[in-house]
Amino acid sequence: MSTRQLIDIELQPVTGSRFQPTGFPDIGPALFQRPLREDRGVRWVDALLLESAQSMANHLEAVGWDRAEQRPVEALAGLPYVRVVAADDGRYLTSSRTEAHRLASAFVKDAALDGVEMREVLKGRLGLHDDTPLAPREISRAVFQLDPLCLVHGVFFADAAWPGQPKIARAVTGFIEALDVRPAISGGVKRDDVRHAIAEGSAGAKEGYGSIPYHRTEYTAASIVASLSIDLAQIASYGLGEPASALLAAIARWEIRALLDGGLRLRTACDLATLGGPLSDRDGVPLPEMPEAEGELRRLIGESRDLLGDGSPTEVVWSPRQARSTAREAPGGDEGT
Amino acid sequence: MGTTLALTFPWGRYHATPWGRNVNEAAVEWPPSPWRLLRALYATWKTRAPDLEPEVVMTTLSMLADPPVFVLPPWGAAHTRHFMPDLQHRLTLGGQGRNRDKAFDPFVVMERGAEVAVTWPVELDPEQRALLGRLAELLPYLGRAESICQARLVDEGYVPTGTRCPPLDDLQDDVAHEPPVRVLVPSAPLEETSLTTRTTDVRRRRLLDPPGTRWVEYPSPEQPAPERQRMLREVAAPTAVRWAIASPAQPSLRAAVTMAECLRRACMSRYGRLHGGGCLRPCPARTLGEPPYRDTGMRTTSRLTRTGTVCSTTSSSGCPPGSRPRRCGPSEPSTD
Repeated sequence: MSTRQLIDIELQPVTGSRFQPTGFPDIGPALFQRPLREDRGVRWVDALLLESAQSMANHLEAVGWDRAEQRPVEALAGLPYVRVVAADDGRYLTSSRTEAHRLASAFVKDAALDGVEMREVLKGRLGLHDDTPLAPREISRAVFQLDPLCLVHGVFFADAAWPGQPKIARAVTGFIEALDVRPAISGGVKRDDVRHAIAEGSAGAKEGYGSIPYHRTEYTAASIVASLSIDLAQIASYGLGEPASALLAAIARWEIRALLDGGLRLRTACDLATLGGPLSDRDGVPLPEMPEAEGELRRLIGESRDLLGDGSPTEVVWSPRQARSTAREAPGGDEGT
Repeated sequence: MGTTLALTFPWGRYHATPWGRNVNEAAVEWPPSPWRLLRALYATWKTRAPDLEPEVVMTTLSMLADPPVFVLPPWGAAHTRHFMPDLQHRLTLGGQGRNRDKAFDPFVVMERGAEVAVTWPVELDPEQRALLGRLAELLPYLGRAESICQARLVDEGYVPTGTRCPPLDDLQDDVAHEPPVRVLVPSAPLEETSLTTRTTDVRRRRLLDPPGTRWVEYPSPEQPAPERQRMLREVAAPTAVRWAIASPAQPSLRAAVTMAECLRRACMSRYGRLHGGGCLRPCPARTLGEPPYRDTGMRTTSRLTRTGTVCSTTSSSGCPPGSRPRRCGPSEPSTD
């Protein structure tokens, strides 16, 4: 068995040749130098981080969630997760699929399941006890039954209430880099055809009035590559056996295919697409097309029912009062988490 | 011959922060810490190969406690910055409390597929080699989780390519290797606790360094100069003054003219102080009523270059007596 599936996908801007990289106004784009091997040796070129590993993880998770319906997409139906609702009127708040810290998020751990605080529920389900070594495979099994996507994207149970504070690294990771980049400078004006001049004392640019010129720095690149990795050995190390392990790998492949097929519109002026044609990993194994990927998911979800149960979400109830109470009672946390 | 692991970083990146440094210092650990590598192999055993005999694992890892010799490929340092949600992220509703912490992600950049050779001065028996080979094959990453790594135990005859980087104590030369880099290695005899100690445990015990470790100095690996770096030419005296624009935003044409004028005035003032009140001619911004300047035969022009820098240059070509001053201004169009 290959320990890892590495996938490199060449991308291009959907229109034109320019793209807007990730960055922040006061910091700018993430430029660095990367070595490229050529006949005469190594040549260093300007490279740009177009999308970080953290952002790519967010994009991969986002393809599995229907924001309008506030539930998982149809392809992931049948996979359990934790759903957080408000105590007062039962409205949907968030879920382990949408929270940054997933099962370990503040909303989940401060919520209650059948009147029992989720911190205690998770502590019991994961088998966490003081003066007792962590049991990684029991933890993996418990997490799989609560939300299997946490085994794909990782989860860190960082809370002093959880002995050992187990951490599960993400099994799928990736980023997008642009190589041999050049800046493309442009700009424009936000026009105000009503207020032609800002009088002293009147609302101005800060409030959104007036014509405001702005600059824009985009980039062009000789190549844009999305690099993704599925750690098959990590999935196997969970000890779930088949078909659960195959299901986790299938989820990762489905997410990658969904992200590529759905359009990589990473930000307003950064809309990327593949060059077309079949995609495969570095060993030549093809990345399944969407119908095949969805079919594989359905089959493996059905075959994993003994572990997944009926796949219905675990609904927990969150209230601000409970959260404040928990905050007051929380013991001192670890340093450096 | 020794025992050699060849580490390949498929994405050409190695993300790891040196012990004792805050991640937001953007420091990179290079060469990789042997202590980190042994901890990674230990973790690989526990999580991915729990069937291996504990005694054989610890005996094998103990053989690798001595500081190894590295052979490193050409490399560079880089970092990105992120705003990571902390544990209190979205604790409050209504859009408040979106607690996020700025975190740097420093990393070493190298050619994709380049190998880092790590050689220990020991010979393993066949059982130990088989065990180490299996752990190496299963190693998922080294450093942070995005620092994916493929490791293999190489056979006799393997010749690594790159820069040899042994511990400084092993170098028997009189060359000053400044500045050296300190790398954390396990102390001998190897203690299992040194491979399992958590950062929080070290801090709780108010220790600076993890127990069972020591620092070893290596020569600072040479970092190739990026291609775009230009060598500064020696000049006897400056002949140009230029604004360095730090912001990614380039100035407008109007701002550039103002900036150039400020720079020109500063140059003139400086020149005057150095030359007993002499001035640079012509001076389009000369104010009426100011005392006449001594003609030194210097003239100045200002221009906005295509790269966005404002440049004022001086030359020693003088104006003929009685001629009118020539107006200064940008001689190249702005990129706006």
